[in-house]
Amino acid sequence: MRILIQQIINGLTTGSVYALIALGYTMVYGIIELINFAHGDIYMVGAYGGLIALTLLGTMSTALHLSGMGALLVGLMAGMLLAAAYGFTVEKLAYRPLRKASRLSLLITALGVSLFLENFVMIGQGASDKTYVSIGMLNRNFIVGGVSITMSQIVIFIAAFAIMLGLDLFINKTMTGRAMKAASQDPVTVQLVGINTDRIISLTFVIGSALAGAAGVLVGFYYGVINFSIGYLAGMKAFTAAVLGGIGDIGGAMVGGLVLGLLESLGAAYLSSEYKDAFAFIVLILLLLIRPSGLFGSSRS
Amino acid sequence: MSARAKVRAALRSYIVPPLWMFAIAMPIMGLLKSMVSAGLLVAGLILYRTLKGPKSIGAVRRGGYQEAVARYMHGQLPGYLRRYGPALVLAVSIVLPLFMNNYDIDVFTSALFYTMLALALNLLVGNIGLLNLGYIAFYGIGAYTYAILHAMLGLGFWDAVLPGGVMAAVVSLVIAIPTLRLKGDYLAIVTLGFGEIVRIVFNNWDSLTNGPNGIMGIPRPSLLGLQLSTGIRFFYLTLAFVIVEVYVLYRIDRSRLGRYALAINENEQASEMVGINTYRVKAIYFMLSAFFGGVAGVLFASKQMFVSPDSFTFIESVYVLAMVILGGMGNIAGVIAGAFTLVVLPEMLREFVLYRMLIFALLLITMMLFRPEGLLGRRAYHDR
Amino acid sequence: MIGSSILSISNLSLMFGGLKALDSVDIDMKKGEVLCIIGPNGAGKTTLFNCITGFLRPTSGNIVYDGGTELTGKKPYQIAGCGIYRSFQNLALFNQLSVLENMLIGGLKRKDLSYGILDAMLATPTFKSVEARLRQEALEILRFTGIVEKSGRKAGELSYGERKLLELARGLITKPKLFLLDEPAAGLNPTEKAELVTVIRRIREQEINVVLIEHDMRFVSDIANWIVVLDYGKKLAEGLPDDVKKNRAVIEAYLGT
Ligand SMILES: Nc1ncnc2c1ncn2[C@@H]1O[C@H](COP(=O)(O)OP(=O)(O)O)[C@@H](O)[C@H]1O
Ligand SMILES: [Mg+2]
Repeated sequence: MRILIQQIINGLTTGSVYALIALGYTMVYGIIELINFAHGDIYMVGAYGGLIALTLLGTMSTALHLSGMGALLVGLMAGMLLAAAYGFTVEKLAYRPLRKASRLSLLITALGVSLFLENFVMIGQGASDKTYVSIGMLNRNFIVGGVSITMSQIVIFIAAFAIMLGLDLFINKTMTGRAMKAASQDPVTVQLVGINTDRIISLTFVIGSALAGAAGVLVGFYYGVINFSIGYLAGMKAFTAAVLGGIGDIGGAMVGGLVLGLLESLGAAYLSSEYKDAFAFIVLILLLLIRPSGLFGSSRS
Repeated sequence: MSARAKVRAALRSYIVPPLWMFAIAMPIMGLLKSMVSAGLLVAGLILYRTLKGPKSIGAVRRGGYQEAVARYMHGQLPGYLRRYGPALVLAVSIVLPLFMNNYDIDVFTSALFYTMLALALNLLVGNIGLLNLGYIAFYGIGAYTYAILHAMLGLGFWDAVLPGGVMAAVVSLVIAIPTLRLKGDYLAIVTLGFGEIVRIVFNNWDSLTNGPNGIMGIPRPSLLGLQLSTGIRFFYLTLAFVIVEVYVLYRIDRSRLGRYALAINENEQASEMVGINTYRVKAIYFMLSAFFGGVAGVLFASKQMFVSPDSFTFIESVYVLAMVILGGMGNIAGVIAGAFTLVVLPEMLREFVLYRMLIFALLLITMMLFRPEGLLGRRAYHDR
Repeated sequence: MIGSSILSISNLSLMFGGLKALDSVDIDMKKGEVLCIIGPNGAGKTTLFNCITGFLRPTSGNIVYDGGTELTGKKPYQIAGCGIYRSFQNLALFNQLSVLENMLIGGLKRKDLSYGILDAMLATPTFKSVEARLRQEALEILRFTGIVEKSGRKAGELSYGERKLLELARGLITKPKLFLLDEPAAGLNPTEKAELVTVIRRIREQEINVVLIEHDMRFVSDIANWIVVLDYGKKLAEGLPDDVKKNRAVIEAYLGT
């Protein structure tokens, strides 16, 4: 029982990270039907963005003395900003010129971008693991009835949900947000209505990337180390989450992320920890075969 | 255009993008490298505009080059070149290694390995239009089949060649049967996931695969009592495999099966309408492609005399795919050229080892932007 | 056997959501007929073809082909394999391939023009002679349809009329018993239409049964010997061309009420 609860807590933590990344996948897919392979690497860039900002701050800030909370926010902001800038640039330089090209070209470009970002960061930041800035506050550990929950887990929950709530408000309450949603559901009509699709697509990449960047920073705090290649696996898992939730479906991506996180941590505890990383792929394959429209989705054809 | 508008346009196209690139590269790359990349971007932009410009010399050259390629594609190339070209290439590849040192022979052999893989993947991606992102798994299955058959039953190379290929083909069928009905992108993802699962299994099924340590002591083959253990002998063995593969693929291309694929790749609905069982043809292609991958894997295991999961990572799949794309999808000569380019070029750029993958990635992206059909273009027309 | 049915459709219905695209349609087509299906836009004509050729599965009803083969539930390629060829209203060619290649693909399923794997692998004389015969037949048909000089061009580069002819030519090389044509004359100019009529006549002479969807009544009266009128998915009338032209209900459906 104790193990079960512990695994649920751990699973929800990684799950909310997957959810944050999955949102970008799903939004981009919804609007241009591209499986953006580079999205996982944007998440990785975000993690580095946070680290770099905090390191910079750390060298200057014994005087400034940021509180734990302040550092957290600065890290998140920096990570989101850098990731957003990269997402924006990638879309503009690599994907936009291929709007009318074949799906295959687009997919291969995305692979190329993914590879590029990985090696770009490796060259700039080195190939070895980087220790993330440690914030004392996040390392606090509560033990309730034998189950341990860390402050960083709580923070990940809260941050992830705050961000998703923000996204939800943005999409449903603002004009731009509504246009975005409409564009992802029916790109052709939206163009007819006179909405500038290029702008909307750009914005989608910016927002999706920022969310991934936030996920990167949160993971950095959580695991304490990052390296240039963390994007691949995280990206694949987030993609699985997006498919779980029905690709193109924003609410689905959030739920999909949590479900996948849970499946993984429970699978690792009760089935086999060696095959932990295979679970996502197995789930993905089974799902695509059985219910390509997602667990909850009705098929949109 | 007024002078001011010109200035503004120049600003927009030559000043703002590099500044932006500099700004976002800075945090990750540091000052110096960011400046270099921004500079390269300016150079790239200028080059791009000149090439794309309506009346530029580049445009004319491009046209000339494309025309030449088109002529080649349409079989209007001088007859003797068409007829003797392959023989010439073959002669060179037989004679050249006699004058090469061991290291170069090794590079050459490696290029042949990738040629085998790229040709087999091309069968799928180029000929019938199915994207497989986990292709390397079949290579791995072939290699492991030989390793395991040798470790358990003591089978030698020649006894393992067919089982290796067949094993890969059978596994491919298991994945193909349910997935071939999926839409294109989904198929790509499923194959990617499949490739990962296979690697994870290699890594963890300790009793069979010896986990991450891999299996050692795999013997090199012998032929008619001749031990094919030296570099050059093994090279010739590999070359023989490549020749057989090229021949078979060439025949497939020119026969009914090739025509089925061509039709399906072009228009699936119309293919069904003329009576083609598209699903079945796709499955056959999946199996054929896996079979050749598996056979290459057996050969690979015997070259390395050792197999481990590290040889079969996702990036290898991407690498093989890039070879197919670089040379020209569906075009046998193009794919061979692509494989050699991507093996030999990095060898020539050894000093830039750190930048190798970066350059490779840029190459992929620019190819898709400027020449998605590959250097030599799509498959040649046989029937005009 | 003259007089037996090549195609009998009974009680065929198909729903698109709430829309009855086909509503208990019965059609009986005798061997040797040129059957023409007419009706206003959206009447369900193309949908009927889609049901016959297996691209859509009817909600209910049967389609029996050549005296006994049940077509419903079969896949398109199986139906094509039974000797049924159909042209599409919006064309389904292999646009990036040459005209000749389009033809050769059309001939892929010909039993009399086949060879084994070994023949293909070794380029045996059988292989060569079959390929040569296929090519020759393709060129003959192209000549017959009047587009032979375009055989080296990409199908996508042809004019609209030529592409329509190519789709017919590709159908002919499959040697079908039943040939379904979806608005072959639409978008053609008068000369092209006249050419088309000749080609269809000659198709007819080869003992191929033809079903034709068409709007143009003049065109229809020229070649059809039986007409079925569809309207809102229902069979409104059927009969000889002259009788149908005089039918009150048909006139109303066409002129609107
Ligand atoms: N795939 C489809 N999904 C939904 N409705 C369709 C579909 N295809 C056709 N329809 C509808 O069915 C009706 C008949 O269409 P169709 O058979 O194409 O008419 P036509 O007689 O002009 O060929 C039309 O109302 C059309 O809108
Ligand atoms: Mg119609």
